[in-house]
Amino acid sequence: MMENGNGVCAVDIQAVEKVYHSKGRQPVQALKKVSLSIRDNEFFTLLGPSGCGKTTLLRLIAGFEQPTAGEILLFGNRIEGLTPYSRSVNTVFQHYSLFPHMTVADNIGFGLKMLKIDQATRDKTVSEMLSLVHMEDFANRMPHQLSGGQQQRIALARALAPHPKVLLLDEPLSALDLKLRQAMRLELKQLQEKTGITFVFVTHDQEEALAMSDRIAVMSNGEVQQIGTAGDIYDRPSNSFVADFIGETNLIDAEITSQAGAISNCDFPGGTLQAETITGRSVSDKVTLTLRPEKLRLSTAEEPEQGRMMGHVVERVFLGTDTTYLVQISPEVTLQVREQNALPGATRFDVGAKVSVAAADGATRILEG
Amino acid sequence: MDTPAKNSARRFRIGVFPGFGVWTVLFFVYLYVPILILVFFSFNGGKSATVWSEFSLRWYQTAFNNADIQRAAYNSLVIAFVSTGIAVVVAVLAALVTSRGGEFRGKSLAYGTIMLPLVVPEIVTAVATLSFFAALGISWGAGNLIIAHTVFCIPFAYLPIRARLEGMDSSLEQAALDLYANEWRTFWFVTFPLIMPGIISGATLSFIVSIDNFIISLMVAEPGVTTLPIYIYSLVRLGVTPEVNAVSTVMLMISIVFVAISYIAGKR
Ligand SMILES: Nc1ncnc2c1ncn2[C@@H]1O[C@H](COP(=O)(O)OP(=O)(O)OP(=O)(O)O)[C@@H](O)[C@H]1O
Ligand SMILES: [Mg+2]
Repeated sequence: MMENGNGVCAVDIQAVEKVYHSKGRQPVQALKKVSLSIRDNEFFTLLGPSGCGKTTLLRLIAGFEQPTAGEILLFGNRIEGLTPYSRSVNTVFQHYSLFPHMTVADNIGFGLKMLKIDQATRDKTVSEMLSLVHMEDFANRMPHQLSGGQQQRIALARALAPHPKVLLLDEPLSALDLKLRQAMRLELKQLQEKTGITFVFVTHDQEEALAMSDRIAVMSNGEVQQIGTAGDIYDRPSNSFVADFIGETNLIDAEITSQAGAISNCDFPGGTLQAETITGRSVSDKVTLTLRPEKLRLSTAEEPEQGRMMGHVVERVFLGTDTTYLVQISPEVTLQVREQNALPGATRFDVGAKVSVAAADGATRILEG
Repeated sequence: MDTPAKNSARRFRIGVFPGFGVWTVLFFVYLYVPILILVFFSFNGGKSATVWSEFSLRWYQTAFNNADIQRAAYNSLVIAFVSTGIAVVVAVLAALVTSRGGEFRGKSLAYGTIMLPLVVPEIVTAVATLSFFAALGISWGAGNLIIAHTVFCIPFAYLPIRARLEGMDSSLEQAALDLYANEWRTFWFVTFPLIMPGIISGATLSFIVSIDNFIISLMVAEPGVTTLPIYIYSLVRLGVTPEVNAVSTVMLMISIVFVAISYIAGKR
């Protein structure tokens, strides 16, 4: 379907399936009826664990694989059967795949040369690209004379030089160290805004996805689990996979004991929590609750009240800015609680201490899936 | 080198196995002394290939001025160049299909067929080729030898090219396709330059095996198309003269140069 309101749709994936057949082995279904629409100028992220089909989806868009079923539209045009070189889509490969026998400048100019752009324009674009990625002094180096981060920038410049309509990035930061990765996140985001090119970014790192994306599609096992902004996905996960995969969470099996309009009371061993009522779940249904550790507070208060559970600390992990506590509130339920260390009046609780755990209003959610 | 290892001593190290060095030396003597003697006597001024008289290059002069040797050398070079050229083209195509063509039926059969000349006894190939030509009535002079040589040159050209292609990340070719290069330009701008060392290595190897080949050449050669090894053989039957030594030394040098090229190309 075409997106309305938010402009045209850059990549439209319609019920795409992909089955890999290989000799003497079971066919692998890498994608199961995947549908998603990526808007123009969007920084769109495919997020999911290893083997969930992210690379497969990118390769289908780039044209290296053909879908077993379904269709892919690029700006409203069917691209079935088009070779990779006739699609206005460029890829930044996971291991950069710079041409080892060409200089940095020739690498960046390669796409333009293949498009038969004249030498003068090519040279101009190459130097623009070099300054875009802050690598002006490296034009005549060979790829093996560059560090990993520098190669990554050149791979980016090479893919951007022909000014594609869509840029595909397959875990381009995974080979970099933490510091560089964090710096590159910001740069990538700025680059996307500056060039106005639609980015389809693949990662299995949820932090990376949350930091950069306009929208994220969370995938698992060849299926899209949820599509939404970072806030949507973090605060309103649609199922336990998403809740668990994005950030940390407590998943609690509970039962709805009463409903009062928009509020459902959910019981579980050790406590009762209030959550927003969701359609399709009524009294005496079994549900799964999600509760983020940072939305729980510890205190020494004694009287149990609404949203407060009594328990004792079984483990404490110091994480620098935060401390994570595991608090057992009943034999079946142990909650993870995250306390900020810098908070005024922050107290430290020792292992074995009796504590009460309070959930912030609206922190508890019932999962649909 | 590393002193701790030296100090801990008495560790079993194959390199210092008692008596190992002696055997190594004996082995190399066995291998290379005959060749050294041959080279040495090629510079002998006298008529004997076994009794030294004085240093001289006269046998090289004689050899180079011998019209028969000239013709045989010319034949050998032409046959080696043409066979190598054809073999390399076939080998590149075969390597592309077997390492980039994905899975297809009969892939291992194709691979086996390419490698077959390496395992079939040479005399069998020689006889088979001879009767094949006879049966079809093919009598194309040097052409017969070129066809026969091309066949056994192909595996030698194929192996290093394929090794190079297998070692080359196919995502480089995908990157080229992604950057608007069609299949042909991808080959020309990316694959070909990157497998070049393999091609050089394969070409030099097949050049050497063609230049050196004796059994198949002897069987297949038509009257009047004598190659250098066949000519040397006919000379030797009349007795080993310093002239034979001189010609053999020249061939040895050619081989060494080509092996060196192949080695250097392979290391790049
Ligand atoms: N060429 C292929 N032949 C057979 N199976 C394949 C092929 N490529 C991928 N697969 C399978 O398809 C599934 C999805 O693979 P894909 O590479 O898309 O995963 P991914 O999400 O990119 O994982 P990662 O994060 O590890 O890169 C996996 O189970 C994988 O084994
Ligand atoms: Mg992948």
